[in-house]
Amino acid sequence: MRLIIKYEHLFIILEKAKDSRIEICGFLLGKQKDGDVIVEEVIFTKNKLNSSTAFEIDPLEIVKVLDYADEKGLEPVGIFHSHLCGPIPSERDIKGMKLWRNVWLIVDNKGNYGAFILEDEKVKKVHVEVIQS
Amino acid sequence: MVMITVKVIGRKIEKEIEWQKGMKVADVLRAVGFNTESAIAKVNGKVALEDDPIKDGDYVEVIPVVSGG
Repeated sequence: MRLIIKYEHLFIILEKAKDSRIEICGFLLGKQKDGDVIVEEVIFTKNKLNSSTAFEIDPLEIVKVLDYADEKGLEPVGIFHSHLCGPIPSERDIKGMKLWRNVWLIVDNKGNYGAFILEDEKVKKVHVEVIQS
Repeated sequence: MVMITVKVIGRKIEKEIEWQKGMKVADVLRAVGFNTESAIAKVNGKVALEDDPIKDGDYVEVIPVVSGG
């Protein structure tokens, strides 16, 4: 499996993470093809916890994102958020990954990133392929 | 036996559970391992509250909270 994301999408996520004092978060919308996850749109959502160490997306905002994705014929193929420390899944992330079994893209505020998915109850790294638009 | 279809978004689970007279949204959430703190529900495409009744044949989407950090 690969997470295929456009440079402009990854860049905007990294820039927002760099400038934010709290964890940023949102959805990656796109499609799955031959086992790869292809990102076509990035949707930023509010961090309901307003925290530098945790994030939560309000379910009603999730509903709006899902309705929008349906309209565009896209799927919520991934969730992204930032850490003010390294981009490695925390225990809290793993709990979240049990509920949302799509790709989790984690970035930090220094331009680093990693993608992960929970499979067979194990966190697996997902290769990130950055493409030009 | 009357069934209702429940889809858990994010976990790509879609299953049928038995409908019972007097069933509410909170009962459906509990039946698939959630509660009103960890998820909300849409019934037939509309956001529903925990005390909203569930009718036989309803289609319920369970949308878990997204959290981590």
